[in-house]
Amino acid sequence: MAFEFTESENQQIDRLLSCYPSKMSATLPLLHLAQKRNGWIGPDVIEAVARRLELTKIHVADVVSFYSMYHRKPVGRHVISVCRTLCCQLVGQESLSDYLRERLGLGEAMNGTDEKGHFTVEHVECLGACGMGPVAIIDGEYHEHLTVDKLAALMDQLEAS
Amino acid sequence: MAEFITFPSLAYTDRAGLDAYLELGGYRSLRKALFDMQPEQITQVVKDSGLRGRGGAGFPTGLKWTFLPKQTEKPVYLVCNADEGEPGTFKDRDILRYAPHQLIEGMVIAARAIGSKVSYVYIRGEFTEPWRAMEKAIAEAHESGFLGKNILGSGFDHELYLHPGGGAYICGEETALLNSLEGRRGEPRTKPPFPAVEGLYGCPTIVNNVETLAAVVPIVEHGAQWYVDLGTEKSPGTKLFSICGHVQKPGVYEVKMGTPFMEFFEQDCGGVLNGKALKAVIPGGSSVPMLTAEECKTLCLDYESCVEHGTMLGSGAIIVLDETVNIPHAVHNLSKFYSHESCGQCTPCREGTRWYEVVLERVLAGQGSMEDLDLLQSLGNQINFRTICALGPAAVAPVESSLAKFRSEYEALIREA
Ligand SMILES: Cc1cc2nc3c(=O)[nH]c(=O)nc-3n(C[C@H](O)[C@H](O)[C@H](O)COP(=O)(O)O)c2cc1C
Ligand code: SF4
Ligand code: FES
Repeated sequence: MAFEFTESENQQIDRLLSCYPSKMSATLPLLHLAQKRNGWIGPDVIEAVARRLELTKIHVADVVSFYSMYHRKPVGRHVISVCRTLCCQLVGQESLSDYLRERLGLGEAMNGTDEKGHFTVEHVECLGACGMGPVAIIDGEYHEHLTVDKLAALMDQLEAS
Repeated sequence: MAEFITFPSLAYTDRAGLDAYLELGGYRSLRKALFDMQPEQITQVVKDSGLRGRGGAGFPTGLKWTFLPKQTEKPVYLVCNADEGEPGTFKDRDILRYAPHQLIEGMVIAARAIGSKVSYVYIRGEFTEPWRAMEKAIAEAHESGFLGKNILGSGFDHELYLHPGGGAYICGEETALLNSLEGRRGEPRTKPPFPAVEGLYGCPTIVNNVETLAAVVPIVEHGAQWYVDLGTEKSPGTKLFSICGHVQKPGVYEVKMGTPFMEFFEQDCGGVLNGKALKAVIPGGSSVPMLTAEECKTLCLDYESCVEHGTMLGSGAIIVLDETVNIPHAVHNLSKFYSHESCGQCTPCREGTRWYEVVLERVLAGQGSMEDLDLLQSLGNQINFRTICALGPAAVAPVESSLAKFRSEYEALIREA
């Protein structure tokens, strides 16, 4: 089914557009809005955003490809973004990554989705919370001072819900 | 002991609301700036305070504001850089979460100084909690007449909007940030023209860091001399430092400029994690040269002392490496960061950062040669001064400084292979 903004999203978009003198400025916010519901940015989302902002599809696609927060492939039910940058690595990030790869059967891959489609794991760069490492974002929220035990418990909980 | 002097709300994690901020004396500076000062006087006090940009480059803030054209038909924009992506840096996040009203107050004061009716806070997309805190604070400020039309009855109007990033370190570079805010790829622009002349939508624009704008509040309240006296002659005032890595008490601290590093590190931060020995410190975010433990002994936390030690204060992000760290391994981690984050516009940066990553990977895998070290050493000359923005040179700093100071660790990896 093609992606369409809902009534309430359209109201949000009207408010967003009133913040800028140029429609194009709303590109990133609209992509975030779409991804929040859709999980990822496919051609249909790009088309909907382009139409709403009177931009070319190629402009929107080009923007999407530049920013790492936009998923260009479908994702699992939960997305775990692990910070891989130095400050987190110094305090134990690698053990989290090993655990995730093993639990989800990803082999050596840094990023991927488990077979059941429960979790997508990605490794991202510094999240600006370096003193609370290791850090991961799970479904949009920061989780700090992570340990394998804490992460396992969080995932069990998510899997059960 | 470090205490919060110019950012009182940071001593608490529950004082982000308007009532708490008012109890701490909030929005007094705004009244002063609106009713007792002319715009030029605001700029002057900021100039006299010696406040320098806290985003990393350390450019004098008041001076930057005077670069705006004196006469212009176009709107003037104020943009707050809340992209906070420099590895090691996590101070702006706390201002956004715990002191959002101080940022808003500082921005409205700055806006009056530069004659701006509209401002944007560009917040990195991952910062959902800081975003919510700012959103709430903006609504409160509107309700109480600190934002919007005819602020506190002064006749001054100002609207402040939040804008999300999309996950790209390069958008912290101010011209990339402006492109991103316009809805484009976050690629840095060639300068000149500088944003003050031609910035957002081609209009005169001032881009300042979160901490810079928030620091304007105490400066306006207590005056320039008070601020100057907090620090050293050349580095006035205080600065927020975020310290992480192998340190006993990581976190965000407000430090008087000129404080000896070791005093701060031992007394406030509890020294090295688990009592291990110190090996190296990166004092200003991942983009500045690292220092050996020996060099740290004479380091003071101010702009000049950092320069004297061959490094930079940068964003005030201190990364501590203990004796267990393999330096080439740590540097490789950062090289991956820069090669991933290079926007790719300039060949020296795009290819150079990639080479760093590939060659270091080879060395770590035990397949390196001594020639590889020469190659690593020489790449900097092909990157520095040949790029549009400072990301390229930033990638050089960890490699060159570590090769100069810890070359034996690289050689050991090659010899043992
Ligand atoms: C690659 C790169 C990344 C940067 N990231 C940030 C950042 O995350 N936050 C920031 O305030 N400044 C950052 N800067 C510095 C900005 O370009 C700019 O100097 C700063 O926002 C100006 O504000 P200030 O004068 O108040 O420091 C970055 C610069 C470069 C070259
Ligand atoms: S130096 Fe690197 S990040 Fe900066 S503009 Fe050039 S390619 Fe892009
Ligand atoms: S390095 Fe992980 S949050 Fe900064």
